[in-house]
Amino acid sequence: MDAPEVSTSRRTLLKGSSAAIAAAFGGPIAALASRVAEASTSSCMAATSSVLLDSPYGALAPVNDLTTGLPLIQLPPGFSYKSYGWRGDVMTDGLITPTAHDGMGVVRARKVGRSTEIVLIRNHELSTGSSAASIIGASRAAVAKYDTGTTSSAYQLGGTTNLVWRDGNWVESYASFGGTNRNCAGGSSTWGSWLTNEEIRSNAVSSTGKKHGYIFEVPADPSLTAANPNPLVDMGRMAHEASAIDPLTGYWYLTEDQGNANTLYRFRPANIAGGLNSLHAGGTLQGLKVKSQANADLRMPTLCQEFDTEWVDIANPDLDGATISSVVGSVSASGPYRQAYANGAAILGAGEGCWVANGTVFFTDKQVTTSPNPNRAGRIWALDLASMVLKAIFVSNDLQVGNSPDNICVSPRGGLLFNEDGGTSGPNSGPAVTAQRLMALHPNGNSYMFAANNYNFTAAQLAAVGKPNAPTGNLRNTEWCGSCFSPDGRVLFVNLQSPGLTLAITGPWTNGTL
Amino acid sequence: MKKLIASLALCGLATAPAFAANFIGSTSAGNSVVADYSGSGLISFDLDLTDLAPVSLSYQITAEDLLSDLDFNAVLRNLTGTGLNEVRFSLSLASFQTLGTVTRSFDPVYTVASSLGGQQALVSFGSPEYLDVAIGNPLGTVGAQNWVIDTGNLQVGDVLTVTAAVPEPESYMMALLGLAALGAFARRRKA
Repeated sequence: MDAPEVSTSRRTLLKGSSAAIAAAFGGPIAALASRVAEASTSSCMAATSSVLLDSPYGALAPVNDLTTGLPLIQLPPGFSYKSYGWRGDVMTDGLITPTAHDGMGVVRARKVGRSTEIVLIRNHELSTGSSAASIIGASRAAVAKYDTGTTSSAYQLGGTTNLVWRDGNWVESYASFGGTNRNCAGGSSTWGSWLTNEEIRSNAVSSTGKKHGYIFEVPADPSLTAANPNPLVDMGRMAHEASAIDPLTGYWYLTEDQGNANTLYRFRPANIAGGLNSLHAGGTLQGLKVKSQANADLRMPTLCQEFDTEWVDIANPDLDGATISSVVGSVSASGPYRQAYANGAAILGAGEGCWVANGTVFFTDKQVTTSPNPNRAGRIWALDLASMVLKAIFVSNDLQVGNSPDNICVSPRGGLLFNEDGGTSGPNSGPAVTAQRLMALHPNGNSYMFAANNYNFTAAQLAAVGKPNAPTGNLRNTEWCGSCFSPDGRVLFVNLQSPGLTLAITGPWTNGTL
Repeated sequence: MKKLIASLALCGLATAPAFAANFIGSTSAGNSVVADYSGSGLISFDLDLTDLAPVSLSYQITAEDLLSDLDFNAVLRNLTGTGLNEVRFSLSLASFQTLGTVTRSFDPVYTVASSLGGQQALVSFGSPEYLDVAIGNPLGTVGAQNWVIDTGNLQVGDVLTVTAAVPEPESYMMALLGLAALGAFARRRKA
C-alpha cells in the first residue's frame, strides 16, 4: 500500500499549526526579552545605591481575589488575580494541601487539544515534625519520598505539590514528592521537571541513614514517571536556595543561603544532553571567585560595580560542613563552600533567588544589616556568562527601595521581578515597614513596587469564603515567593508563604518593564 | 500586500469529514495565526491574536452544511499585550441566527449584541480582556453554547467569510486605511 501523499499545501498548513503553538507559548515575546534583559545590565546608572521610583503601572490599591472575593493583595490598576491551592484545601488527589508554599516553577506548557495547559511544581518549605502522617504523600505509595525516617526524633515534612492551570483556570493539584527538609527554592529544567532544593546545612544522619541538604528532581507528571527519590549528590549538600539552568550550555547555577559563607555555584552535568534523571549521571561543582582576589567580600558593592570572575573547583560536593575562620569572621560553612573558600571563592551575605536569561545569571543576596555594620537591605547581581563580568545591578541600602530580595524571575518580556522576604528592622528612610512587596527592577538599577501583601482577615471572613483552615490575622509582613511567568508572559504565578496560597495575576503588563 | 496565514490543525484534519464547511484560508494585514477546526455543520477556529489587525477566514459551503444551520465557535487568544474591550464578528452572505455564550476566564462579564440584520455581532467585555475568550463552546465547557449561523441564504459553493476585528479606534482605522491604500495600488497596477 502506498504511503499517503502529503501535499505541499498540507505541509504549509502544518507549518502554520506549529507557528500557532509558538505564538501561544511566547515565540514573539522571547525575541523581545533578549533586548530588555540586555538593557538591564548595560543601562545601569552608577551610584552608591538604588532608589525607589514611581511605578509605571500606577499606584497600588487592594484588589479582591476572583476566587474568594477577599482583598489578598494590592495591585496597580487593571490587574486581577485568582487564588488557588490554599493550605488546608483538599487537593485533587484527596490529600490536604501542605503549608509553607515557597519556590515554584512552570515545568510544562503545552496544547491539550485546543486547550492551553501549564503545569507548575511548588515547594513546601517545611522542616521537621513529630507526626509521620504529616510527611507529604505519607498515605500514598505512588508519591515518591526520600526519607521517611527521623532526624533527632523528627520526620522530614518538606516536599512538593503540582498545580495545573488550563485555559485561564486552576484545575488540579496533587502531591508529588516528600520526605525532604526545608524545600525552599529550586528551578525548572528545560525537559519538564523541577529541581527541589533542601535548604539545610547539616551533618546529621537520619534513622534511615540519610543526610539532608540535597537537590532532587520532580517530573511534571509523576503519574507517568514517579520522582527519583535519590538526591543529586554532585550538585552539593548545603543550604540550597535556587537553581537555574542556562539552556545554551545545560549548566546549572546554584545559590546557597548560609550567612556570610556562600558564593554562586556552577554545576556542569556529566550528561549534558539533559532529560529526566540525566543529572543523576553526576557532574562537577564549582564556586565563583573574583579574579586576582582571593575570598573577595562582595557584601557591600556600589550600584553597577563590576568584578572579573572565574570558577574554582569543589572536589567533594558531599563533604560535611564545619565552622571556618574566614576573612569576615568565624562562619558556619557547608562542605562545598569550605572547599570553594579554600580555593579563593568570593563571599556573599545570603544567596537566594537565581534566574538565567539570555546568557546572564541573575541572583540575589538578601542580607540586611545596619549600624554598626554598613547599611545593607539586599543586592541583585548579574553575571555575564560570556565575559564572566559580575555586576551589581541593584543595591538596596534602604528597606523602602528593596527589603531582602529573595526569589527572582525574569519575565518573557525581559523584566526582572523580585520577591521581598524581609523584616521590619534595617536601614529605613521611610515609614515603618508594614507589608512585603513584589518589586520590579528598572533597567537603570532602581526599583518600583508592583504588588503588596494585603492578607489580614478574621476567622469569620475566611470561613465565609470556604477557607476555614487558613491562618487569621495580619500577615501582610510575610514573604512572597515562587514567582514565575507563563511562557507567553500573560500570567504571573506567585505564592504568599505564610497564609499559604498561590496566585495567578494578569493585566496590562506592557504598561511597565515586567 | 495581504499575507496568507492559513493553517489547518492536525487534529482537525483527522476528525473533520471530507466535505464540510471547507476552510479555504485566512487573510490579515497583521500576523495573527489561525488554526481551523471546522467540521460538518460547524465553523470553528482558534485565532491567536498577535496584533489588532482584522482577520478574515473564508469557508466554501458544501451540501452537508446546508442540511441545517451552521454551528459557530472559536477560541480567541489575546497575545497582543493589549487589553481588548470589544471584538466584532462579521459575516458575508449570512447572518447569526443565535448568539450563544462567551466564556472568559477572569472577569466573566460581557455583553453581546447583533447588528446589520445579524451580519455582525459585537462582544463587549466588562473589563479589558488580556487572556483567552471562548466564543460559543469550542472547549466542551459545561453550560457553554455555540453560536448559530443561519444558512437560509447560502448555496453550495458559496464562500462565507467570517471576519474577527478588534474595534480599537486608532489601530482599526489605520488597518482599514492600509487595506484601502493596497486596494488602490492594486487597481492602478491592474489598469
